[in-house]
Amino acid sequence: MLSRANELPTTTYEAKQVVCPLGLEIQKIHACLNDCILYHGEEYENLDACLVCKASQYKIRRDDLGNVECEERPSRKKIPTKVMWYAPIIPHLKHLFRNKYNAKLLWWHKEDRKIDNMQRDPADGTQWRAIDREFLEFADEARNLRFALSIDDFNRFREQSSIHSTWPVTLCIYNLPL
Amino acid sequence: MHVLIQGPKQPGNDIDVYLRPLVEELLFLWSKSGVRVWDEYKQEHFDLRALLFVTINDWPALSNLSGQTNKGYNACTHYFEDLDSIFLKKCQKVVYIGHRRFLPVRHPVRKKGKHFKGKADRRTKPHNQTEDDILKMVKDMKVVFGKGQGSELVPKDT
Repeated sequence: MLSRANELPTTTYEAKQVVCPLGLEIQKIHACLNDCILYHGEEYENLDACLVCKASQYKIRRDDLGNVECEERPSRKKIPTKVMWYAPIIPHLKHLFRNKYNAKLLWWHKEDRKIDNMQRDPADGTQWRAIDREFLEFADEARNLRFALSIDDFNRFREQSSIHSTWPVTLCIYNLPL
Repeated sequence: MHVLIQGPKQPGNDIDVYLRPLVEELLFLWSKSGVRVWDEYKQEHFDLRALLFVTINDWPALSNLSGQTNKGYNACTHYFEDLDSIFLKKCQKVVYIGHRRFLPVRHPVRKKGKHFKGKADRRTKPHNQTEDDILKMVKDMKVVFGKGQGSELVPKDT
């Protein structure tokens, strides 16, 4: 599947050993069960229940005694009802420019691209050129990035008829050669 | 992958809630100052800026992402209410008509004749809405996210 000299790590532990020192943190942001709010930012971070629908942030255990403080049992870990994974983009971009090879590829659309009247890259498109005309300052710096936001849902574990749906959101960089 | 939204139900219109951290970071990248980044190839610091170029999604997700409806009578996300659509009673579906207005001005099909109820179509192509028009439409809207009561409808001007 992969081209030569590109190898997938065999275990998750090996993969973590490569990725973790890079400082690419993934935030786990708790969300309301009914999608009302995220428990994120100064205003919402310390809330226990949603402001809109009053749903609890954490799952209620079956043997939960409610508000009664039980001294014998130590406080157990709370399980959030819904979690959103979020990888901040700015650290990713900083790492992208740290690599000499990748940093050169981000210049590619201005210098090495073959320019004739053929359409073969997003940079040949009318929308790209319209942005160049409108935001001159932005267009002067070829390293400035243009993102595409792609959204779709998928079923986990090849469950074709599953009603459980998970939504990944990805950002692709259009500066890179195709 | 930058955001992963957990199930069990799909977020629908509430996807805006989940995109909020991403939008804040994109706005920060679009601001005039940008982000200070070291470029290894050119061996220099520079201010990186970025913009959102396109969005890639399927047709049902477009309605959630853009916040517009893309079904029923006003299905077009570009021309809004300029669209001609009728409901066919026997077929039980909405169809979209009035494609003749996209033809060149002196095209023979635009003339009146046997078809199109014997009428001529002299309208020009609808214009794209400007930002001010769209802002005027959505200004009074009170959006409530979540799977609860939902947002209130904006009363239509009569």
